[in-house]
Amino acid sequence: MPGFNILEKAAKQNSYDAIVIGSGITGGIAAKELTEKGLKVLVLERGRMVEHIKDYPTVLTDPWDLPLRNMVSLEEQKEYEIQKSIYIFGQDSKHFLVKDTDHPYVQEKPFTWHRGYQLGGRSLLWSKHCYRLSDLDFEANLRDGVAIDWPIRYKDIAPWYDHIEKYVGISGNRDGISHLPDGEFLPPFEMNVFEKQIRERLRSSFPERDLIIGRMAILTKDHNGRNKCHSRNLCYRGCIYGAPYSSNSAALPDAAKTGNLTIRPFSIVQELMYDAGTRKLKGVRIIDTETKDQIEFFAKIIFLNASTIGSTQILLQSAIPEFPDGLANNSGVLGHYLMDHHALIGANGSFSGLKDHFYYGQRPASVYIPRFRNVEKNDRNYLRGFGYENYTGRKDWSRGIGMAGIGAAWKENLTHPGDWWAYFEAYGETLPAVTNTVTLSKEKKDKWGIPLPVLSMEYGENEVNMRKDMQQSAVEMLKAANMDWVEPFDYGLQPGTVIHEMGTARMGHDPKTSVLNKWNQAHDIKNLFVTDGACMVSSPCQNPSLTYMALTARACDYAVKALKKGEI
Amino acid sequence: MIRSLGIIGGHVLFPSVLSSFVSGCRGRDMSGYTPVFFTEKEFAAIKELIDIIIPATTTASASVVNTHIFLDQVFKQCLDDKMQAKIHVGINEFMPLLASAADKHAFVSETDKQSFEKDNKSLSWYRAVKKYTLIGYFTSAEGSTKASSYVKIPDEYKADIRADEHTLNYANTSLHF
Repeated sequence: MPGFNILEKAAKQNSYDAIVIGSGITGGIAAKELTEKGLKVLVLERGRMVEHIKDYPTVLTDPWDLPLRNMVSLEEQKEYEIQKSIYIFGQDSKHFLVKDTDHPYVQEKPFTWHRGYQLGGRSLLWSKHCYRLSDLDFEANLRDGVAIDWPIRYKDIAPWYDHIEKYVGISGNRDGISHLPDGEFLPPFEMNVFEKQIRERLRSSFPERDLIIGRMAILTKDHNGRNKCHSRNLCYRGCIYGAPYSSNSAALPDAAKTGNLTIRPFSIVQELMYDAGTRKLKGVRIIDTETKDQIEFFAKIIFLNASTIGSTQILLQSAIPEFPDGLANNSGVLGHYLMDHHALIGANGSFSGLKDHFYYGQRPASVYIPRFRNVEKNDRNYLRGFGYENYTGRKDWSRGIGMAGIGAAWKENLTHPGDWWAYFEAYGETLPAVTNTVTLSKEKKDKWGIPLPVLSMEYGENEVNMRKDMQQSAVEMLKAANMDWVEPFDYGLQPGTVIHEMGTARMGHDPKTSVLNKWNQAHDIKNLFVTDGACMVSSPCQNPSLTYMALTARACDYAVKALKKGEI
Repeated sequence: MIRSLGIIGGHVLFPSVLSSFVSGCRGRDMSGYTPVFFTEKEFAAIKELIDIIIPATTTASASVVNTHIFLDQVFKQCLDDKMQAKIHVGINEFMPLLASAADKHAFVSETDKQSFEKDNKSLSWYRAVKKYTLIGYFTSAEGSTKASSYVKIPDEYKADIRADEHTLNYANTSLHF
């Protein structure tokens, strides 16, 4: 990757202006923002290098050239006991997922933790849905008397949503929905004729419900040196065009262009090193995963972007006498209030009309129904709400698997597009609960001697009540859209499966009840910033990555200004 | 970086990939293949069965694109012991019946219908054979490019085009079954 300074193990240089821990969706942004503001930055990544294009081994592999046509043998699946349940798991993607046998954790209560340990992390795999939060979300805890209030409001983050959207490139339509604010959008993908029909029928039956085109971090025109989408819908393999945003395709190469970036892969953080004299961090001690050498790096500010659970794990394992319950944890809330959305519930439908309409190419964007419950008033038997990701298309040959038929005529039929299908899946908000936790095992360690994280989470009555409405509403909408066939589904309620884990080092005004202040700066340690999902105070139902990136850019701006003023 | 690759007409050209795309619309010569899951006798019956399910039409039959070999590999590597045992039992009970059937198509058609009857567990082996026959056939080079429309790089998405009875469906490229 041109311009990258890959730190060699023998290098003696070990002091930087800033260290960013993690290179995923927020670590990439932190690296870009800080290097562009002139700081010398070291990015520590626990996994291997993944260079844009060069390290996408299946990007152009044809279906018939994938071993077992993309299925993974039961023998090999044993290494991916958790990861194999992710919807993209296959021969074409497993190299971007961890082997669970190498990276164990403890499930005190069931928690599916999907991970990608490589440069770029899960930014190579994310769904790329990008929706702003609004004050309906930022005021929710205060309004409902739940947990603590967010220390920011929409006006505080709005300019940073603008900033990130302009950089990342978000395709979308300006829909004018007050609680799902419009942004700086590239042209939207277009709905197909079936979706347009559903939209019109929903409008007549449910005026408060909008079917909109998904707002996606996928380019609909060339943007910032990356190329527009070529409609393969295989983003998770990596993209030769750089159309879907990832740290690898955009933020890290752009950070490298400044000449201020150094990346050190194969580096697991063992400890954040605290200086009791200055009451600040002085650096980071890592373990080289290949040599097991311990190496110390020093910096003026540290950005922790190791993922919600990873960042909290690092803070907990960095406990010292001054912070016996975890670094920057005078509040005692570190590791508490773990959240994930709840989903995998909704309804399927099919429609036998519109047979003379089709589409060309594979659109990598779904349509979306924004939250419509508890918006104007709270009138349900639960708090908060949910939105829907809705996927549609015409049935392909695989419809033959579930139907009777053999022979020439049947085969011929399967070669042509079948009925239209619609899949409505709801994504619901989860209330923060102090009993949902990330802690460290006292007995079990990984092969580098790091205590294993212990995950414990269960959903509450609010989520259970909400799910009934999530399913029922999907059914009633598909019926209102005149489907020929509608069937509800509920694939179960297991934390972690939505891969939107958040919380456990929350922001807040009060150092007694929160880990981070309104700038994502640790109350207890001024040169420590945590800007990944760990900072979340609640879990609004919108996909969260855009908010994480905006908070990261905002925190970087604050940190650099404070550094220049000598306040850090 | 995209700028370092050759781009012609909006398509990035990778010579090795293009050559594999152009070649191999039919299955490779696998006549010497030795089954790893099926016995030779079972393998012969499976080959006959899948060609009744997916016969030659304007496109090749299932066995011509080596779907029986795909089944042999997938059943060996991807099915658990319980399902493997069911398939062995099922195919061995099925073989003499198929051999003696006067109208083999009608016999398989009736078996197929019965397999979709509610609570029919005795034919779960047949459902598995049918499922993986479809996957093996339609994800082969022939199935993808002739029995489906395989567009490696569509370039742009068009939300609404006309379709008629001749329109082929697109090949399944995500392959998560």
